[in-house]
Amino acid sequence: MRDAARSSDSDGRADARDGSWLLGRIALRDADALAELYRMWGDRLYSMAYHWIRDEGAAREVLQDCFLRIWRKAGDFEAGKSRGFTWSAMILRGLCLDHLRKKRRRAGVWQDWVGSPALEVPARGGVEDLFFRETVSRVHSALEQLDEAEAESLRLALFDPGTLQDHASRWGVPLGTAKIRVHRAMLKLRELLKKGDTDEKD
Amino acid sequence: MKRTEREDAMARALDLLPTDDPARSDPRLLRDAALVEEARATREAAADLWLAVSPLRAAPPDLLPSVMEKIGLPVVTANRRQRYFPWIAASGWAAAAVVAVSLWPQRHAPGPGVVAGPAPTKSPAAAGSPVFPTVPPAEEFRTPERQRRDELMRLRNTVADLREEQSVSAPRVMSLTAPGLIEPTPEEARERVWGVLTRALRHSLVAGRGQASAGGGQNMIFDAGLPDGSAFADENTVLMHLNFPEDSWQEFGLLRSDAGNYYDPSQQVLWVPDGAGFMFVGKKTPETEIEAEVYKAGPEVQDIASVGRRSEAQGYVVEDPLTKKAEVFVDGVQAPGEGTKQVLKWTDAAGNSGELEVGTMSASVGANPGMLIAGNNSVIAIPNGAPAFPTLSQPQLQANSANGSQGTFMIMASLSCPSSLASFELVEVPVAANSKKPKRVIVAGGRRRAR
Repeated sequence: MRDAARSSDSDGRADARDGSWLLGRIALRDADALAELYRMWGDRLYSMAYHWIRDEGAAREVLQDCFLRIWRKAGDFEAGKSRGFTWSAMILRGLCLDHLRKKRRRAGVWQDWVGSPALEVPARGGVEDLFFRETVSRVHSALEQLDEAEAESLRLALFDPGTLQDHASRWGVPLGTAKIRVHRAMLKLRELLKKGDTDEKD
Repeated sequence: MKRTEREDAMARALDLLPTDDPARSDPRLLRDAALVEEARATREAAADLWLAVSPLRAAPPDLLPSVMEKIGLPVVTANRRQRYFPWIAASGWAAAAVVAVSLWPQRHAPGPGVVAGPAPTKSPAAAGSPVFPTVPPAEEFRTPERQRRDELMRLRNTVADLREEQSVSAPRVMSLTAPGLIEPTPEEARERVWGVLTRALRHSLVAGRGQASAGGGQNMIFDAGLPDGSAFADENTVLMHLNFPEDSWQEFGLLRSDAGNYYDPSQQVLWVPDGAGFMFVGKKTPETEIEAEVYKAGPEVQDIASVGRRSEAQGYVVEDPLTKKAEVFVDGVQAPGEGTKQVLKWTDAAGNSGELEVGTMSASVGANPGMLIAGNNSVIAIPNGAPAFPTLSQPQLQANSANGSQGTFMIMASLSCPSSLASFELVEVPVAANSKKPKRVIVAGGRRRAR
């Protein structure tokens, strides 16, 4: 007999919000699990897509493709290498990037994207995200500790559909410098998020 | 590992590399453990950041059916009951419970008394995760685990149904404490309120389950003690225990694993906690099917941190200004003394007052028309081990036994209060009107006045 009830949830939080076990069921072609995952994350993923691409129709299309891809690729998901939500969000990111880059290619002239989202945590207005409350809180705290240049580097890296070469051109620096700049900002964000996580556990 | 490789790993993880960058096809980025970790950490931070800066919106309701149709699976009806929001606003006692926890003072909290929501933008990080967790399946009991997940989903649906529209109400939480009680730390307060509300939720969840499965007869619910062999017939029977005796497992002759599972060798029942901490699930399991070396008796096993037990009464009032309702929870209440009764009393900001007797399900109103008590106002207390449990179909009427402490009660009530509450107390008073026995305050709370 396997003594899995607790060991599968060793950090006490991962499984509750991570959905890895649902992805495991989806990999076994469990349609209920896909529906359950959608009910759990559908609104959140849709919000992320819409926030980035600012187009309801496109966000809907991207979310649909995301869940189709989750259905097809769930067998590739490895719980030990990534959180389930991160894995799903990165699928969504790829689809959003594809959409925006296609849009850019189709545009006669591509200017700096004026619709690029801001990097600030929105007020909750009394509405609480039960699954991701801690994450939102940690990010909020971390963002407050980034300087303006670091936040802008992250905003571009996260939301601008261009590559680092585009960012380097915009900043008037070599590609290597752009890589360093974004990497430093990302490292700082990671450290702050990690620190926030540790603080909460304490 | 060169720094440039880490930068490339980061850039590749976010698909930021130019098309002609040689790092796009560098196999080291996929093989080197440190670089793989760099990419993983980058993705996680990026996902968290993206999530947190994106305001919540509801996805189009017909999207799931569309996905299912494209896959060739049975179409899921976009039924409101099949949908739940992972985000809610306060409404009804269950929602209020969640909001109470989410707004309860944590680090750097402004202090006891009333906590007004919504939480400020610079709210402190929430410690712990008092959400309705989605339970990971235990291998042993996949089927009942799934059933319980369905129950959790039902609860979420119920909560969402209570107010589907996105309320911007600002719930207020008032702490009720016993006179002279040392003020708990914010962490203790949070633990306690969550403990109280979890137990309340647990009873409601299981009550729903018990009713739903009554016809099948394969599920049994226990509130105290341990069942003997006559309680269940075969291995298909699922036992659910609301107050599993984790504190006295040795006295019951149980064996425990380091993972927190218990085996009852006399009845050959394996008890496994559900992932959400709501209950223990038991199933007939022959000794031959368990790994005997994993289960130990006596003190050789590790201690599991027990959920904070409490002896003194404590409670909370959660007000929703939008619906003008207040949900009251008081836990750890002793039974009324001889010749006495317990009464909930309150005053509102306009100076009106009202009271409600515990256990009678009848309300009396102070001499003021401002504090109306609607027909659904009710309060009741049921002692430990009582056979009947309320269900969420009656959200105004909630009462549960306490957390395993014999002789104590949990009192839950729902009140209509047109004006915000200024003070609230649970008191014990003589039944006889002419008695000289003084009033005893069990718990009391009130809004802090501006200084």
